[in-house]
Amino acid sequence: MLFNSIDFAVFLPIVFILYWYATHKNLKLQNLLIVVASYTFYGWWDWRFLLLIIFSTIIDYTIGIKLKKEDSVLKRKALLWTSIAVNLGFLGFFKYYNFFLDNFITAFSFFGTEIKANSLNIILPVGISFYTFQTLSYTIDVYKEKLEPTKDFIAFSAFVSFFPQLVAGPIERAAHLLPQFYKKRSFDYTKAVDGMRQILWGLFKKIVIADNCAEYANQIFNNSADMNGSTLVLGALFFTFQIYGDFSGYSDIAIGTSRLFGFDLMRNFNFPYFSRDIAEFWRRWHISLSTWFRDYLYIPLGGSRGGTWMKIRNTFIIFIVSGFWHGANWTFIVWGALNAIYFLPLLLTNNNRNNLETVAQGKLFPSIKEFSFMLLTFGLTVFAWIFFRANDIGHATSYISEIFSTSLFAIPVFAERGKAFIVLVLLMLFILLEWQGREGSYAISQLGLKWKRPYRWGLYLGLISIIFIMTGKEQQFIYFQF
Amino acid sequence: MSGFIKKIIFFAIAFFVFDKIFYAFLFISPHLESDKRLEKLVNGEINKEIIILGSSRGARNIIAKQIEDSLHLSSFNLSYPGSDIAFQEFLLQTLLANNKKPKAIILTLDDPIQLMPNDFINFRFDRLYPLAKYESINNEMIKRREKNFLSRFLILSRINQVNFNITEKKYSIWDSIRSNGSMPISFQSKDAAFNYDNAAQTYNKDNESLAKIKSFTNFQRLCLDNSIALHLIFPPNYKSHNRQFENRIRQLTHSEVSLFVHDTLNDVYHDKSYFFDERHLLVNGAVVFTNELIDMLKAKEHESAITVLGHSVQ
Repeated sequence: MLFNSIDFAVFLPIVFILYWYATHKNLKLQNLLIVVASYTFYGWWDWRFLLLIIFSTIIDYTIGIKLKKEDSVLKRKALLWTSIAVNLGFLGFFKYYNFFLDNFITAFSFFGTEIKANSLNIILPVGISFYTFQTLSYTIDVYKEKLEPTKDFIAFSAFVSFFPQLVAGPIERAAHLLPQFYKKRSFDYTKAVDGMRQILWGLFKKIVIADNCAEYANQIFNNSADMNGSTLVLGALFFTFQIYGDFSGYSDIAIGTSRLFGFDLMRNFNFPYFSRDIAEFWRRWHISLSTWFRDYLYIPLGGSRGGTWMKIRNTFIIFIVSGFWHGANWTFIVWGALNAIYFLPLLLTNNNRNNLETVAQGKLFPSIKEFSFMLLTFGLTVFAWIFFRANDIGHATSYISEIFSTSLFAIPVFAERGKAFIVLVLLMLFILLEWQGREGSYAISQLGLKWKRPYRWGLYLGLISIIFIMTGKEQQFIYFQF
Repeated sequence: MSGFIKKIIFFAIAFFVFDKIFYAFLFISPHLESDKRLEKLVNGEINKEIIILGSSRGARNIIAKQIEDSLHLSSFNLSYPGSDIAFQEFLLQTLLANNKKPKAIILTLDDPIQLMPNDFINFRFDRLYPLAKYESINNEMIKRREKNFLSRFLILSRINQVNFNITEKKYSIWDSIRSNGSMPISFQSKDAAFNYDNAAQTYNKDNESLAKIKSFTNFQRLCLDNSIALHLIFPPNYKSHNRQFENRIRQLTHSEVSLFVHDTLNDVYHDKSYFFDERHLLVNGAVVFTNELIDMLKAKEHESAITVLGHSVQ
């Protein structure tokens, strides 16, 4: 089920009413309802893949309990590796099988050995990368004795399958989300209203910004061979806002929906395009994944504690693995490596933790220096997105080489330029709203709170109207494929 | 909790009222359109004996007025450039629902993309949006999942960005509609290479879309159920005739439906001065092709007269 679908618009109020009224605020019943609702939400797409989630839930629940009882270091390690093997095994099979097969065949043919193997027609289960990482965090934390294993199977099932964040995150840590399923929840008016505002802003980002930018990004990337340099730059810019609107919009809807049910999810985006360096960008972009890799990969590898070589190695590993997490394509690996290259100078000069606070805090405008660094960081990010969006490395390189040609100075040419102008105006409005709200948890979290109700409602009605007017067919979220 | 729900309901009511402001855009849109054919169809103003349907090949290659003058049968061209068989099926349904039944329908075929998914011909939702105020049009968009059921209650859900363009639309040189709905063209495309392709054309049915085949079958069924003579037309391209495509269409065509292939030996269809580009005729070519159609229709009329006579003698 998509957040931007009519199905979800019907599903959400029904679950909300049942959750707060039919369960009489009984914790067990509320958790059970969340499990049923989450399985319905996921099964709406393809019920067969529910079996994967259920299997993963049973494995990690059982291993968690066994880890608590087991004292033998060897047996505990075996249990941990069983969980990792099962979870990453599913992920590897569904997501990477064909990629590795194709690359093995290519590698062997390079050395003159022809291998005949058929790739499989595998459907990638939606959200598998997200819930796999979430359940892994539980087992690893229990293994490290940072977390008590749960004996409440329903609560654990609800934690694994919690529908607002099941298919595209934020990737929650067990230590943060699981305890919320044990606590009695009562309806919090302020939290619910804030949740509704965040859902509204998420829908605006997805439907108005992402889907409309997608129309032009797709048109330009899919026909890049026929486009001039300036059009390709516009295509990369459209994709830059598409992916931000799409993914952060999803996160906003997920966080807002959770708040309606009394849950707090971790923040996933923190105005990343206003970052002054790449290190800051990665502290603000897909925070739940970056911190997951930091805690479960970078630190276990030694983090920054070793020498320079160790720092470089670990940085490249987490960025490349992060790229590969996004998909079985060399483009994602190059995208990750490119970000590692951007990051490395900051790390080696110990400047990777310079910009921890929000840019131009308490001020209306940034300084010229801040603005210049923001622009530079944004430019580097846009450049890296070209690899992320391209079909293959050849596509990305030809795209970039056309940008760095004389055609960069030609007038952009693509279909429906009139409508693109409207989208650009909306983009400007979007950037302004994001800028004014950059110190809040989302752009409109504080906007209009002190206004009189008619004005505040006017703002909401305006946003809803734009969402309706700019909507097209229901578009999938990009991160569903990851 | 109840305070929250009350506020949500109150806000929903405010939104429902606010939404009605946008009715002005819904109402004004049809008046700004230059191509009024679909609106006439919805309003039951296309009561003709011969109807021509198709994509740009139907619009540019067949001159309805010429058929009307020659056969003394009222004719109208309802072909929309860029439209596919699903859109043509929708037009036929709308025609039958709101207008007098025609005697014959001429459907031009797009060789070889008629039944294949492609970027060139599709369902022309852009033609439907300006007319979204009509229930039948909105219902069609709901049926095709372009809109959802909210559009029955909310104007904002029914309208689209195009409804906010409140400038009067003007015909371009590409889509000037002549009397009786045809859109013949009188200048050549600058992009056309005009290299006559003499090779035997191929067709791969594996690329066909099931949805388009279904629409093609439904289209025939609608004609047969309503006793309308259906003529499937293979207009000329600036290349040799595609026999494989023709044979595939024959496989999918009901025995009572007639098929007409342009005169492949006619020198005109090998002469680029009769073509706009490799897929469309110029107006001089359209006159020649329409004459072929008229001859075919006369022959069919003659045949049916003999058949009727034969039945009455028996």
